[in-house]
Amino acid sequence: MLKSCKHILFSGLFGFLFLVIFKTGLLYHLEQFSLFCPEGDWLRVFFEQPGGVLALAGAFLTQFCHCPVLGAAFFALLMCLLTFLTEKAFGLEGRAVWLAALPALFVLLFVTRLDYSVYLFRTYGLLYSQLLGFCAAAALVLLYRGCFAGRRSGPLFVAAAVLAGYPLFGAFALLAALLMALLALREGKRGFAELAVAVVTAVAVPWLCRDLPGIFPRIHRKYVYFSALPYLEFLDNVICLVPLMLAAAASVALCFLRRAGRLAVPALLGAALLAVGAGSCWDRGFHTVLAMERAVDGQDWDKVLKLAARQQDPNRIHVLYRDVALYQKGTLTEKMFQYPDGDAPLHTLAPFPIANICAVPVLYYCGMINACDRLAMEHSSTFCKNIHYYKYQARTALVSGEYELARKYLDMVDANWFEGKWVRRYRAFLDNPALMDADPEYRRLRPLLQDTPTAFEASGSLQEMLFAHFANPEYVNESVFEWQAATYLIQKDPDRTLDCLFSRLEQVPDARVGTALAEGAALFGSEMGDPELMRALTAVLSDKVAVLKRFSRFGADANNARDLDAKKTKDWFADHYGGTYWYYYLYVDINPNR
Amino acid sequence: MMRRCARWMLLLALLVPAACTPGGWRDASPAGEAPALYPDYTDIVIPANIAPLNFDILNPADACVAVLSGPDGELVLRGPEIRIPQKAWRRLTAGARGSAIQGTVYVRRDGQWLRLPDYRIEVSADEIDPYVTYRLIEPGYSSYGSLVLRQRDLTSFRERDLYNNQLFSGRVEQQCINCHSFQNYCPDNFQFHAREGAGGTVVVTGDRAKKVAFKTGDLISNAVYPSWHPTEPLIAYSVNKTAQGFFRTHRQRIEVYDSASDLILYDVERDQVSYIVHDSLAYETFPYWAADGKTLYYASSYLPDWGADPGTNAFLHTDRIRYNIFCLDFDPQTRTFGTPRLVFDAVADSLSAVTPRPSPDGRFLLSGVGSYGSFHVWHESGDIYITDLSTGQTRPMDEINSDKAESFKAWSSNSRWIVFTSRRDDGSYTRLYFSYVDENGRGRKPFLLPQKDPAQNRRLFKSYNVPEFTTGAVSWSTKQLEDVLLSDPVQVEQIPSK
Repeated sequence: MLKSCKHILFSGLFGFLFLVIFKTGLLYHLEQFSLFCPEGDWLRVFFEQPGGVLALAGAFLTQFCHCPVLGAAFFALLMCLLTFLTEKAFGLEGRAVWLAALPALFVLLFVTRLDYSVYLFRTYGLLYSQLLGFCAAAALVLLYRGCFAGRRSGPLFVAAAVLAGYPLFGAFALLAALLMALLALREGKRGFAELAVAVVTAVAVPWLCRDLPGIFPRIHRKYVYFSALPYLEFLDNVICLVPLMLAAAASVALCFLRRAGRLAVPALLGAALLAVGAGSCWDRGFHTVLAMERAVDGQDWDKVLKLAARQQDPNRIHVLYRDVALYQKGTLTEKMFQYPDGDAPLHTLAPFPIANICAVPVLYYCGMINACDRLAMEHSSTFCKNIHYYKYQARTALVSGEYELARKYLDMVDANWFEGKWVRRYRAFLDNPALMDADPEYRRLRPLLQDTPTAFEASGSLQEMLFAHFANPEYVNESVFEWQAATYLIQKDPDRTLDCLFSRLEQVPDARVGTALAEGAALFGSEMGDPELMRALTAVLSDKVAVLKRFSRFGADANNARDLDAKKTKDWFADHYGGTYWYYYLYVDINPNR
Repeated sequence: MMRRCARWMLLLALLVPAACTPGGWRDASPAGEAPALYPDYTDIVIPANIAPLNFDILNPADACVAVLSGPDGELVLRGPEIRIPQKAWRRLTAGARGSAIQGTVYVRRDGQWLRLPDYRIEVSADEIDPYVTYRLIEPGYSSYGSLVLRQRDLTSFRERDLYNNQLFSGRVEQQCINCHSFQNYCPDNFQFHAREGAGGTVVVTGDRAKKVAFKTGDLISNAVYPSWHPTEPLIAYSVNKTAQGFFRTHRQRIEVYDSASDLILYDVERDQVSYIVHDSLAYETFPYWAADGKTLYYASSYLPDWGADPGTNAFLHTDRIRYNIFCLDFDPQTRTFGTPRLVFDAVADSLSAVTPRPSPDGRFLLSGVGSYGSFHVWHESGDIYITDLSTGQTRPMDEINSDKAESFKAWSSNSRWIVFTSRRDDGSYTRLYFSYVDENGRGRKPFLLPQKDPAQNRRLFKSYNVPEFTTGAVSWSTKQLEDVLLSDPVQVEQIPSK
């Protein structure tokens, strides 16, 4: 028994291990950016477009990715199922049964090569829906082969499969019809009848669904032949669909292959495994973003900082999450330049603003709650509505005292399995808002709200919004000061850095100056060359003697350097001043429009 | 004989569910605790043809029963989720037409049944128009991934998409749909706009439809807020330069404002537009025809002195823009307008009145009033005011307003019912409320649009806006309307005003 299932177990085990070892962050992300609500109105929409059943089942299963091992296990089970169905449907024998794993492996590749595009999904359940679609197609073929192949009822079954299958499985029913026709051709009995029926129904049924009033009121009429496929996500980026095309092509090829030569099996299987290995997304920056996102979700700030320290070539998402974590730890203007800094581009085929990725959490923790709520609303109306955004909307509603609204969002999050613990924490604030006073999250957030509420928020890129929000260097409180100073340092703005420093000193004379800010103040003071300013700064930074001494050395080193832009010089400064603001000032440039 | 037979049938229908209800409730002792229902359907006036008012009992209880009694019998329903069979409800309301249904909630706690105080549902003999069309939209700002114009049969729970942008929107292409409007409550003639992808205005007249492109001549924008002339093939529009700003932490979140607007008249048959009002010193917007077609109401604000940079200053001082309600006489024969007359001087009270809606019988005028600006759906101060057109007296309709935003509104064709949008439920998502308005212009306690499952109102993460009554269902399908949108537009021609 075990021997005859080896290939099935192999495909499942490979998928499981691959996902668990390399893609847990992705699985968790997909769960957070998905939603399942077992209520009539929400469910109904899935039945208003062909193939919606697959998306619905996918959305249901995606819930299990909250625990990525469980999510991977379900994926692996479906891979096993697809391998089994493929073997039986195409009647593979001998060594050829190993090739039944090919479609499942290619669907695995479709998932594992996902990159930042996961932030732009408009379709629910993509993680599982494609695998389910191939399973459905293989099951239809199996049914045909077992009961109808070579009989007069064969063409009828093909027609019925498209007629009933297209509404349920979309394009996968069309694939099934093609496979049935090809199988019939292989058998040579009435093959052309099946082929003719398959072609006619595969063309006619979607066309009818497209134009008949009253059915599928939400069908996307331009893409009727792609229903249930992720066309909205990837049609302008077809390379992402290649794994699915390969899975379909493998199924077609298997129609004509009952047995395989000794070398063919390891060659084909090896190629597929190689494709999964080489074609998957291995972008470290992307995986760090996912890991940071998860840590921010869990408010595990130490983890965020640990990840920031490891990311040697960070993009602005890493830096922004790092700054949020530092602010939460109360060390933003102390340590912000002690971590790698930068503005590496996103490695994705279709770059898009970083706001689509991290704006909602970053804005929330910066106290820009309306902007956070707005972007959560915008993104969830443009892309899939999801747990992630509803969570932030619940929290913004709580902090603005809109408890009924918060309850609405919490109820929706609560409808998803595995979110009960999170919901209980915030539901407690609904019952007793006074609890928020003692909660660390709100104690760090609320002081940031002491702003002119009727002032308009700037729009633009995420960085521009942050820069504009903290544009006024006037002292408000210690929390706002942290972000103000950090923002001016990032912008390398000497005037406002010093204005904000002195404005604070007027209000809080004994306030301690963070190391990063001290480094910035020393640099800007020295650049301005105003002796009075230098005297004042020396007094202000009297407890930062080490910083001042080191700055003297830095000044001398910088003056002595022949070519500051030379790589060698840059490396030397990285070695000696890598964790300082001065290094950032000299060598890190950011693109605020990103 | 028929009536008697109907009574027996009703009794039989009631006995079956009654048999399934927990026993002992008839011997309940009275309690002072008020029944807590969601939605609150206590002490309201309803039309006899409204769909069943399903509700949930929120009072804590081990078991509960709701009894709805009318002159022709009673309905006994087991709670806490009260789902009223449609046929039984129809018989109950038909029997109570012109009188009232009494509602009683019984709750069992610690084995003892309590009878909560009765409430009344008056059943008006004035029916409501059977259909209401609205747009479902996230209370968002600039994205419109999924927008629906939907038509709901108020006599049942049936609803269907009139048009949804899912048919069209892709990864890049998006499509905003808005501002649907019908001619004189008739579902045969209507229009709506689409922006961005396949943009234009769909104008349907009977079995013909076309897409119209309005931007022409010196018009500052495409056509925006519409109003069909009740009898003539004319639509009055405003053209607006609209912008929005986002508040930092204010609960109102957003300000939508115009930096220019005018009124135009569109001849549906000739595809010609001309200015109605084009005053560079004022913003004119939200036109609406009186039912006789001889008066056009609209809102107008004189511009504050914005100085050298009107765009920026308008953005920074939107709270200085306040509108009054004016009207213009119109001669349908010559298609000429008279001079503006002030109808409601809201600015005198430091208020801003927009979206005038005259009642079809010509007696009253509803306006949306807030402390400033024109987009009261985002203003917590947004309320509905009523003007008695015979006396010119205006008052806030406190009997229907809440402390949250009330905004869009419409009269039923018999002038006895209004539908309006309100954010009273959660402050963010607008819902449809209905209220009876008597011949003296006094409204009754509003009630929420009935749903098969009332929790739908809480679960739905979309706002209802621009509710419009019609006397029938639109016969065009979503796909037919998409075909119209995908067709080449008819470009209107601008002609001089008469």
